[in-house]
Amino acid sequence: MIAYLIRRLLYAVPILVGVNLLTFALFFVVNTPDDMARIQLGIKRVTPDAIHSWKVAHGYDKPLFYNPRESGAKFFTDTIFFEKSVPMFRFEFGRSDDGRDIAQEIESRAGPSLEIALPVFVIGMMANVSFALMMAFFRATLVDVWGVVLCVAAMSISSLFYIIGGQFLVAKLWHWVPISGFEAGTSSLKFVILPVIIGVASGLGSGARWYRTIFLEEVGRDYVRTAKAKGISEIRVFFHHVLRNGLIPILTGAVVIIPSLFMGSLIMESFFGIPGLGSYTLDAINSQDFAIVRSMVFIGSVLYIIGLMLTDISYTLADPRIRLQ
Amino acid sequence: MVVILWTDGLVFLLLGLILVFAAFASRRPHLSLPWRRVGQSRSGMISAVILICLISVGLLDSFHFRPQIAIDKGKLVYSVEVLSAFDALVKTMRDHTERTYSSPFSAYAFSKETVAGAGGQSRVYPRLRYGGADLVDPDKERIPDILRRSFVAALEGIGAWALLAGILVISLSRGKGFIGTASTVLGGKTEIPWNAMLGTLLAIFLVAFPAFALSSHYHVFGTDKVGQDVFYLALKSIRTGLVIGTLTTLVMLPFAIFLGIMAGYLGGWLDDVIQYLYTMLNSIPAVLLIAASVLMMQVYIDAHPALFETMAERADLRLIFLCMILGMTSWTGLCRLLRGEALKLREMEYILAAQAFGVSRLRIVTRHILPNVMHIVLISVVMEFSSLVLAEAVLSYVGVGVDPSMISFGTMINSARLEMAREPMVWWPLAAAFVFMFAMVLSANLFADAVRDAFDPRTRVASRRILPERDEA
Amino acid sequence: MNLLELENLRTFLENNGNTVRAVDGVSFSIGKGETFALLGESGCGKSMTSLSILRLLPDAGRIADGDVFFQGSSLLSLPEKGMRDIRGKKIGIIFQEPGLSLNPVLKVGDQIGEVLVRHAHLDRAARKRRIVELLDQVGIPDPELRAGDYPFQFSGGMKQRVLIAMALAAEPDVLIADEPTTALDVTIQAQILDLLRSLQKKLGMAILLITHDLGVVSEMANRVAVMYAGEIVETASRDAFFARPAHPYSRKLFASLPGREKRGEALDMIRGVVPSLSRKFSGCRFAERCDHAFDLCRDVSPIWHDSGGSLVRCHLYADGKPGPTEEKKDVAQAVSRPDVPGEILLSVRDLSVHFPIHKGLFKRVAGRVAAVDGVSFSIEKGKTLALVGESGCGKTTLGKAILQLLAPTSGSVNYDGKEITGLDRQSLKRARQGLQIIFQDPYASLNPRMRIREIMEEGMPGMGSEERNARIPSLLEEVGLSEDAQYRYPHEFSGGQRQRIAIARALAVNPRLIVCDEPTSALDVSVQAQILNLLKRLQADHGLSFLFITHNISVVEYLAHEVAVMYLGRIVEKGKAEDILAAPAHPYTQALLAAVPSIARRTPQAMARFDLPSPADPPAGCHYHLRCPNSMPQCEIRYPESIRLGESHQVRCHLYGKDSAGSGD
Repeated sequence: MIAYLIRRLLYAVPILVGVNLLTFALFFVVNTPDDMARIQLGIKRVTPDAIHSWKVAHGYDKPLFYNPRESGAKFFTDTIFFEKSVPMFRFEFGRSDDGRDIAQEIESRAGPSLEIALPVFVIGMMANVSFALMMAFFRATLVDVWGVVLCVAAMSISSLFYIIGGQFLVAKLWHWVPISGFEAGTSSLKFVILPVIIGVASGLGSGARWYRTIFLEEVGRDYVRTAKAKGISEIRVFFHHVLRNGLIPILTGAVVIIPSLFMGSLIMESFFGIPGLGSYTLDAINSQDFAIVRSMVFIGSVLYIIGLMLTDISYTLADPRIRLQ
Repeated sequence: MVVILWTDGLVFLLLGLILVFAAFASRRPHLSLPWRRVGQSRSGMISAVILICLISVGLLDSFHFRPQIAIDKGKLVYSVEVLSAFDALVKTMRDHTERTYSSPFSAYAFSKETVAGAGGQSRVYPRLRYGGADLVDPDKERIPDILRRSFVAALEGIGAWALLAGILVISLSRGKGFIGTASTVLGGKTEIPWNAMLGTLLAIFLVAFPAFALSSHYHVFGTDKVGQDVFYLALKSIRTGLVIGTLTTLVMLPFAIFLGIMAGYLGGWLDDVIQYLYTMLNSIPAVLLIAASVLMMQVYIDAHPALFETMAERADLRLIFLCMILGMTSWTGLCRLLRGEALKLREMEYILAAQAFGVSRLRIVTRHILPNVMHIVLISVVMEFSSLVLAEAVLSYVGVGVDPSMISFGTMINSARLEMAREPMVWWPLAAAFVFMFAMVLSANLFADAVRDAFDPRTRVASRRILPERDEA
Repeated sequence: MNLLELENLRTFLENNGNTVRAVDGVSFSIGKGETFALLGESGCGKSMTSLSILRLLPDAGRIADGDVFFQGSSLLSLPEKGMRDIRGKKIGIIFQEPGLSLNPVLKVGDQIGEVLVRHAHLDRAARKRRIVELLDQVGIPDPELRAGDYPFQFSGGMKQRVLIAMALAAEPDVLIADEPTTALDVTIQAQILDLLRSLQKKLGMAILLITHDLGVVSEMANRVAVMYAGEIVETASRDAFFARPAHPYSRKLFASLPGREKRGEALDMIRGVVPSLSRKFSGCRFAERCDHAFDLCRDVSPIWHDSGGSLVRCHLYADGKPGPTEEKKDVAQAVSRPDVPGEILLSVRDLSVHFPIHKGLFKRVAGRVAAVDGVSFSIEKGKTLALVGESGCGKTTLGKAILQLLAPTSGSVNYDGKEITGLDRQSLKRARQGLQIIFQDPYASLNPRMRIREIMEEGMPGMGSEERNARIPSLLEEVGLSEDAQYRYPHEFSGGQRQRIAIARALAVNPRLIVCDEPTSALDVSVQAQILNLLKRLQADHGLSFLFITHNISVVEYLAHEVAVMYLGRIVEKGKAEDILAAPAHPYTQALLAAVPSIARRTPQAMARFDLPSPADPPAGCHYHLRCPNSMPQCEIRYPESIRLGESHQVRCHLYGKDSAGSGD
């Protein structure tokens, strides 16, 4: 198990290097550091000197991937790519292109992001599983048929509509909660509750329908017949046997996104004005702040890899048959 | 002058591929059998009718040309504006632009304007230039006029429907009596649920005919901020949605199929490399990857304005790139699925038997593995379609979707949502976008379900009609 | 009073708009403490009968008519709640697939405990004691410890024991055993059957045994009912049935069994296939496959007649008529067997296939599974070598390694004078010509997306289209299929027909040696007979050699010239079929032969103990010593050398080491 995890961690290094390489390549294929400097300094009246000093100040005054003027290890290390990537592995993100400390921003914004993403995940999971269980238990009855119809209809509605419709009804028409905004502390509840409800509702259709098929697959297995042959009740067969087996793929499949919850939700945060990492990322995209985008991509990848490891660990916990090698 | 945009070309290529495959499959029972099962599905065929109507609009909207505006010294001069066959068909709708917002079926503008009249200046709701323009007293005449026009158009719709239904019955009757065939078709005693499909078609005609008839005298879904007819915008958005939903998968398929099968069948270091590749791509948050790519591409387009003759070409190129980028980020799932399947198939006895004959690896891949994973490919393509249409709206909202000048559900929602705060609210552009999007995505979802049930051997068992137990509890 | 009684039971399955009449008017009754066997081939409705009794039908099934009585009261009119008091408490059931029938994520003790909670009101401690007692009763060693294990930690045979413990936990009056040993190896089958017998003696429950295996019926049953196409066609006491089966179908079942006494002659077989149960029948359902059918059979469904000993539904017994007359064996059908020593076609020397086990931080090779471990044998032209062993002994791996479908770790395979290991693809392609393989699963061995013609053409690369046009029909004809089969797809054929196609495909390259990997084990007895006859005829006509991989001893007895017995990657005994079958030397061979249920004998003999150990971690010394009744101290230390017992008879066992004059090669 320990050996397995160490191997997984070692495997993460080439992946993260690859991720960095890709982001760099994407960014600099069309942009040169000069372009970046021009954008950051404003389009008008940019002197070559100003560009140069911006590049020096922000560390963009070196070659991108390899340095033909150097030899040996410095051929690769004395470059923008190396100098900008390596600190990331120490989780030092430096300053954004407009000069603010990225790590500090992330620290202060992770909280609000989690306040939305975590409840959406937990409540959504429970809602999806309960709804799926209900349909699977009443399979082939009207409850099931209409449940599936509702699910398909619900998953055909754009998530934007859930947000706009929810904001309109709850906040604008009924004035139950503010339309958008955020405050720290306990008063955040009134800002958070609507996004959470909308987040849960918009995922219910596809989630519940998918879990229903998982439960139905379990219902058809031979061990269910064995359990029924013991004379135990339908309800016990369902909740003791089917639920346990069905939850294994459901829970382990969901584990991978748990770490990524830190990243927040782009759309939700921008609609509701939540100062989280999602809206941070969105702003960075719009202002083309490469330092932030790069850091967020790196963090996202790290969290995903952690998610993969957690998935494997959760498999061994949930399913006695699986042992990690 | 005919213009073939990149997306047009690819759309027709795709259409051609589908037709060739249909001709190929119709003579092969193992290929056509699952499609017959799709044909037996009621919900699948109802949604297919809706999809065909939407696709027809999309295809009409894919024949592009530049109208001739003048002859200058013996040389033809063409407009810089690229139009489509669909634009020509709904010319009135397209040309009837008002100054700004107006609500559905209204004869007046949405907001008051200062007009100079006989009694001096006054602030009134001015009459629209086109909406209800031929009415003398809109307050009295509008409703009867709408009803009259709808009724006439509905009758036309029924007539057209009856004609189509008649042709269908005649083609099905094959020498048997017309009345008898008609009663089996309408009674639902046919293998393919023709009666449900005809019913759907009738419903569509009863809505579409009046809507089109009214569209030349009113704005059925109102007008937007710059006075464009929202109904027209919604119809134009259909093509964008279809293009994103289909071309994206067309772009990603070769990657996913090739790499997935290579990784699974050949294994070894190739497998490691391919797995590394998709784990890496997967680990980058999709929106970030798309956003970064789209922004880069936008920078490129902005830097090279000379490359594009018309705005439509520029928007079209961005659409193609968006499809490619979406494709690049979404091939990993299918690739992993195919790798797993190829890994399983590699141990299948018929492949071992082929190896024992000394059949080459290339041949084993093309003759044995590829045909046996195609059902997975198909299922994932149809399942992917609706999520791509939905994704377009979100991405356009974030600002990394289609070109702002391109009409799409996303740009409609994006420009309309700012008006939510107005009092009274401007709701119709949003409503139109959502209604059309919902119709498209729902029918795509239902059709995808029917396809999956027909092609996936596992779910076919589960979806069997189930009889009630003898059970009181 | 009868314990369990079925009255005109009809169970239908709805399948895509078709009604499958899986059980169509079945009546029988079972008395206290008796074993009643329901015998039939696959798809005849016997499993649906058992599920109908407990009302555990799949969702698509329904009981359309008839009734089931337990101790005189109707089960079908009970409410679901009342039915739950019957299940497990009065009637227990075990299923065919022990691997799938246990909940994978619950401990076996808890799964057994569930029955006790429901039906036997014991406190916690008593329940725990009872679970251990039950596990002990079904012969699971260390029951206290094992109760806390999960199903995946048990072998197949052990899982079936757990299921038996579970079914018997509440001491039901009836145990339904639905093909309880079909998924198990023959030595494990013998253990499970023995266990069922001893438990029945001890607890006195009645057993409804559902099986397709005449041998199992012979060893277990008091009474027998033969089921065909949804109906029972014959019922008799065990002795009467085995003395003189009455229905033509029953007789054909006996006649199509392979065995020692039928060597040299063609097996009798039932023509055609089992009819689809979704169609309507008029007349006798067996009529179209029956040699004795006359007009009445096709029009009128027969009623029950007494044949003197058994009740039978056949017009031939109407009004006390004597039944079908035994026809003379068609002499022309008999296959002659050349028995001259020939030259060697294939010779395998010290062949090993090892699979590495990766462990640790850098996935270093930490160990190896010696799936095939230094195997040597040779096959003569025109002869059949049967490779016998339990599942997991490495016999399939060996077959694949011979064809170079798997790279051997070491050793040599010499085919027709040429070494074929370690060749590159092109030279291997040439050298391997004439070496072919037929697989076990007829459904997995043909590509479902290719026409039969395309499948067969794969084996004829160098041929022109004219040559192919001539060759394909003749090959199909050779295996007994019509010419137009080439334009159809595999899904249009039954399992037996597909196996014929696989044989035709193998014949396309003019092979001289065919590796047959369990070619009949997925088939019904009557179809198996067709395939065996075909293989024998091909051998006689073309002088083919076969490496016949099988676990079925009666097939070996029927067609093998030589036998090699494999145990955990090594051949423990080999020699002429007559020698080995008549006087098996190795204790494992003895156990294997003894474990085969026989229609001729009632009482089983000495059997192998325990399960097959893991090939990843075989016991030290002789791999068999843990299961061997004759184990000696040296068996634990050293793997025995090969010892020559006769001209061609070799065995690897310490029992023969000291006295035997000859020593191994």
